[in-house]
Amino acid sequence: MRRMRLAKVSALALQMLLFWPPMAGAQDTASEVGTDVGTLYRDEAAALYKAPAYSPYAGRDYPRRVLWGDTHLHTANSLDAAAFGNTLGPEPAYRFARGEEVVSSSGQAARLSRPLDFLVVADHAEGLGSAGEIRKGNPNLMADPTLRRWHDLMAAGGDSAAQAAIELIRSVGTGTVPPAMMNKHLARSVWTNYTSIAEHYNAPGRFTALIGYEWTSNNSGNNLHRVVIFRDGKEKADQIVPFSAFDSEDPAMLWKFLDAYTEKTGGDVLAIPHNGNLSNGRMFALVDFDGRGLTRAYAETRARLEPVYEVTQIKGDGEAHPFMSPNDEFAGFELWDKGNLDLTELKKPEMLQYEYARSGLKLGLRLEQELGVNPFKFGMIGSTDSHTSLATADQDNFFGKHAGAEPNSSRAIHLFAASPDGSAKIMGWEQVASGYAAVWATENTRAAIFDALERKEVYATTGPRMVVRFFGGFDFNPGDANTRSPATIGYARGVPMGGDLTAAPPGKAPSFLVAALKDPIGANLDRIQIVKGWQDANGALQEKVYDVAWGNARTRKPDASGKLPPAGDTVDVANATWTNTIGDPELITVWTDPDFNPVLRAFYYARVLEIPTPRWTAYDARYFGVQMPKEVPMVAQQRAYTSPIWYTPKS
Amino acid sequence: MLARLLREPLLHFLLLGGVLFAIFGRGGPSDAGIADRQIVVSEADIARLADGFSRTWHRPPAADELEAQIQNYIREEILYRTALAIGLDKDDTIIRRRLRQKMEFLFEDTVPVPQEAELRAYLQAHAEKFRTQPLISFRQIFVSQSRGGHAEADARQILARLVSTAAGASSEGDALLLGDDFTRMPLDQVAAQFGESFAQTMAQSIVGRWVGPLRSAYGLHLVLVTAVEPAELPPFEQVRSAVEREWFADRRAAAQAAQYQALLAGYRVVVQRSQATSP
Repeated sequence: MRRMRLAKVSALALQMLLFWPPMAGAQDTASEVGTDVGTLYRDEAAALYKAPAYSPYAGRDYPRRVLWGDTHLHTANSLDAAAFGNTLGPEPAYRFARGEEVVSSSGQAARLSRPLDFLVVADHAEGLGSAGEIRKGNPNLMADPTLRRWHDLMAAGGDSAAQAAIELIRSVGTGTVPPAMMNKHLARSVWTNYTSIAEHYNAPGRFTALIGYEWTSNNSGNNLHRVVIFRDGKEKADQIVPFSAFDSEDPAMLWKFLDAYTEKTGGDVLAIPHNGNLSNGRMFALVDFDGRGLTRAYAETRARLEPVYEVTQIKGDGEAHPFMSPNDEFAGFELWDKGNLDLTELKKPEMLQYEYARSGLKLGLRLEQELGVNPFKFGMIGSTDSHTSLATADQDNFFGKHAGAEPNSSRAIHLFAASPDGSAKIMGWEQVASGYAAVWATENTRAAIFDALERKEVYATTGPRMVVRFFGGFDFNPGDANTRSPATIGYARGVPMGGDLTAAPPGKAPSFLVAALKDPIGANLDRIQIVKGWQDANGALQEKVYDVAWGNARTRKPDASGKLPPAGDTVDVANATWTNTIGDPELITVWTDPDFNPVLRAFYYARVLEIPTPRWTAYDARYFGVQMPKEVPMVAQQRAYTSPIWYTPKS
Repeated sequence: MLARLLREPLLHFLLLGGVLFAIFGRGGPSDAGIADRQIVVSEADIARLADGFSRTWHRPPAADELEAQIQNYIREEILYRTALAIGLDKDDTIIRRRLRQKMEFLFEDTVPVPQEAELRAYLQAHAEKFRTQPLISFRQIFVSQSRGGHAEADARQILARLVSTAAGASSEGDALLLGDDFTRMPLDQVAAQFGESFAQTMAQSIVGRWVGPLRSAYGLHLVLVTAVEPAELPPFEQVRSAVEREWFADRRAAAQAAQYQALLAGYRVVVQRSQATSP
């Protein structure tokens, strides 16, 4: 049914071409109006900021359509993806993201429910080199005695091959990677080929192919990975070769490289960290890579070059952990909290506060007080980190972490990873079919998407494409929730997600205009929550979650203790279906902080929950006709996290 | 004549064979190494190492940094040659997959750069790939399902008033986060946001006339199409890059298939299935 969508649209397009006589008059009027609004009023709109023009359409050059994308996709260019059997390079990855049908590495036809608007192919810089060398006629084969250890396993194929691939990845963390993989001069030809493909698929206004790669710092197995994204095209990106973890595993050295790039080319570049949950206390640590206390310079550099954090993806959701948020009933979502990336070191509870986004945002408030700059002032996006070249995040269309985990009857019950002593295990069913990056860009181009990331006007979802608006200010009133165009009010009277508030007027608390609209082919909404974090008068870090708008509000009221009852559950697990008979398609409200203190630092972000729907494991069970073990979750509440709005007292 | 010869698949196959022979048939530079036990790091090698360093750091390496690069290169060369000599490259899944990938790159490189006439012909033959979406400008008035059972009746009443008043503007209806006016929205985006039957109706409605109620996933809509720019096939110059991309994608896929079949023809394949693995 869904697979017919594009075909139908093309048919419609054809139909319109055939049957629509060119209506010159109407057409010209439209383009004139469009052009005039854009050109005539654009400069004046700023001056008219709070006094709207007579024309309700004038000055509306704020982002009007949210763009959907994946900033973190691996193809066969990534050593680990290829080792797991991915044979699809960047070209099929772009085609798939644009909505075309492709055949996956395991031979299965695959297509997205709807195209994405943009994609970053982010292959690992490490070992990105060796593939293209034959073009130069140099039959330099990579080989190293270390590979002998993996040889027998690899030759056996299947799970043994997967084990060998994991050992290979582990070697990056222990610094025992075969030297042949680090050959810098091999990297150049691959990089320029890689940027050429991005150039070919980049269609401004229609589909954006941002150039990027992943820097895979994995010191002692602790994940400090960053995806590097360029604002620029091939011409500038080709002036460097990717800085890899072989050059340095220290993020500060990566930042040095990024600044050198900007200085040399006049271009712009940023880095997006991810999987703090697998960093064993390193992602939002209060010390730098070498264990020294943080400095103002560190904070400035990090905040400038790392404006957003990838909060949710296949290897776990990293918004909040019940250990730090015991009063948040939705904090335990899709956790991977058993150890670091390769499970060579198991998790200790005291590590968690330095790993999860909410906690990182709170620590940032304290660091800002100490250093004068907040190093952890980040917005939030989701992405897949899929290694299949297929950017899937829908529960009913999940192609897994790597080519070996593409849909098959037993992928859920296969061992996915284990610690060396076997005491900690991650099973296939623990893979998370998440997520996407939602970007409020003014147009679908590299520059506009990059700029939206930089100003943090972005949000994360675990897959569904719900539209979420979040504005903060001191002048919103409850009636603003009833306006026909909330965004116009939002931009006129406040700042959007990712923005800053300061200097509260006397007697006023910040209020937030927040609205969410369900995914057009997805589930209704359970509720919108606002998460507040702050540093109290004693310097201690606090958090609180407020339910601010919810579905079925006429009949569903908070109980005496203030707790909102659950939305209900319509999921039929056996058939992997649900109904939109509960929840609301759209929620909107204006919420004012009831506990505001103008001299304390705080941040606010919105979390939007869908009603319960079948998890990918339920779709697997139905399609393959298999029984899942009872510990496998079959129902989940998918969600969105917006970038925060910060309140900083006037110093 | 020469151009046509250069595009001849048979020639490519012969050339490919020649390349393979050059690599595997006689001793290349790499299998000379273990016998003569001599490693020469040439000026050119050093220049290449320095260049690689400069590309990362945007500055030439200092003397000690370059020395480290050279030592690393020597180490790599020694381990590499030794590994080859003791056969570590044999039957290794990673190396096999990498070599397969390199072979496939090689196949792809047999696709020649297209002539403009070929691209123009491709555009004509595959026009549907390059046709733009119709761009639709419209206004909508939303009637929320939260009105309950009379939502549809409300919508019809609002529609009747819209049709009878010439102004066509109304403050009736409910708020919708998507907004109430849309400029030059591609039809496929209309379908993605509001649903296919919604888009279908839009495609057939007349400019300047309110229609509805149309049903989306959010509720009911009354819609006024204000302008339509029909789908069109852009001139060749505008889509040349996209045509080239699609042309290459097609040709590369064909080259992969053809070269594989050609190689396959040179082998006798025996699959020894046991009872258990028989299809």
